Amino acid sequence: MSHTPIEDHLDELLRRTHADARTTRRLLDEASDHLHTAATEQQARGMSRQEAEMEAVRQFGPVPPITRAPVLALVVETLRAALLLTGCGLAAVGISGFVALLMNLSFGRSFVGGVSVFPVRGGSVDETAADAVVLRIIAGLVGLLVLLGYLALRRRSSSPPLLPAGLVDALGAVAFAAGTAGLAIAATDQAVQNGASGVGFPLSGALVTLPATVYFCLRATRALLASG
Amino acid sequence: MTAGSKNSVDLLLLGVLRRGPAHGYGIIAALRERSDGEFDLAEGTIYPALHRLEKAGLVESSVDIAQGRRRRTYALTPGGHKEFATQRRDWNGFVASMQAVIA
Repeated sequence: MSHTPIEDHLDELLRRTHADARTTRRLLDEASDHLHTAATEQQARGMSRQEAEMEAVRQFGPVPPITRAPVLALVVETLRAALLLTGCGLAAVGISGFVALLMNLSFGRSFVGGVSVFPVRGGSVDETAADAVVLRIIAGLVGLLVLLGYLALRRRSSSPPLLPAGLVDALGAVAFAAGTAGLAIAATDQAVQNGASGVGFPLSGALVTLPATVYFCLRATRALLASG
Repeated sequence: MTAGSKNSVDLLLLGVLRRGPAHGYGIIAALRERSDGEFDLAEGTIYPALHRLEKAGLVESSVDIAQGRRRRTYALTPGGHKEFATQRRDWNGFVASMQAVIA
């Protein structure tokens, strides 16, 4: 498949057109004829084919004036993206519960449940260590339900994506990166103030959010590269 | 696009098409040529306007094959001719009023 400026612009037009099939075909027919006619004319004036196509695309103008995404569809897609990110966040919390469980088993309960820099917890070491596992796993199960809801919604939708390519992945990367930074700082602070006691509480979270950050970064980069 | 500018674009398109049928690129070329380059619109913007005019029954379109591509040609309907005459009269009245004020 050739990647010429006109073909790329028509691809973008198709991606951003949210209309019935006939309107979309008509729009693409007209845009294609217009762009090729304009490029041929520019070429006759002495431009190379590549330059002529780029000039034709420039004069045609941006895609948005031609089509506008239906507001309702945009709201639905935004909600779907929110479901995906919420589900991933809760699932990450759930996985961190298993990490906390491993830490409890490997390093003793005080590593996770020891005296914490977090002011909200007042329970015993055992209670905190157990809560870090159980409550997080419950949150993870809720996250799985949210993700199932997201998948069901996505399966029912046949319309092309409205949000810019890579946006949701980039938001996920930012959210998980912020989480990683916060948890890493908390773990460091905990270690400085209390030694190993309680370090596992934030560290178990950071160990999950870090790979999630990398995963979303890779997805965002791939989406941006694919969209040209 | 404001209602005013939308009406202006409609009037310009009707004005070009009253001289004879034309396809989208031809309309843009005619607009540019007859305005001495003054109306240098983002070319893609005329298609939604043409579709709107067609939906309103003011223009009609037909498809033929040119240089191996499907090409849609637009022409004014009788209703389009009438609408053009009305809009041109309104426009001329507006311009005359403006002139009277700023002269």
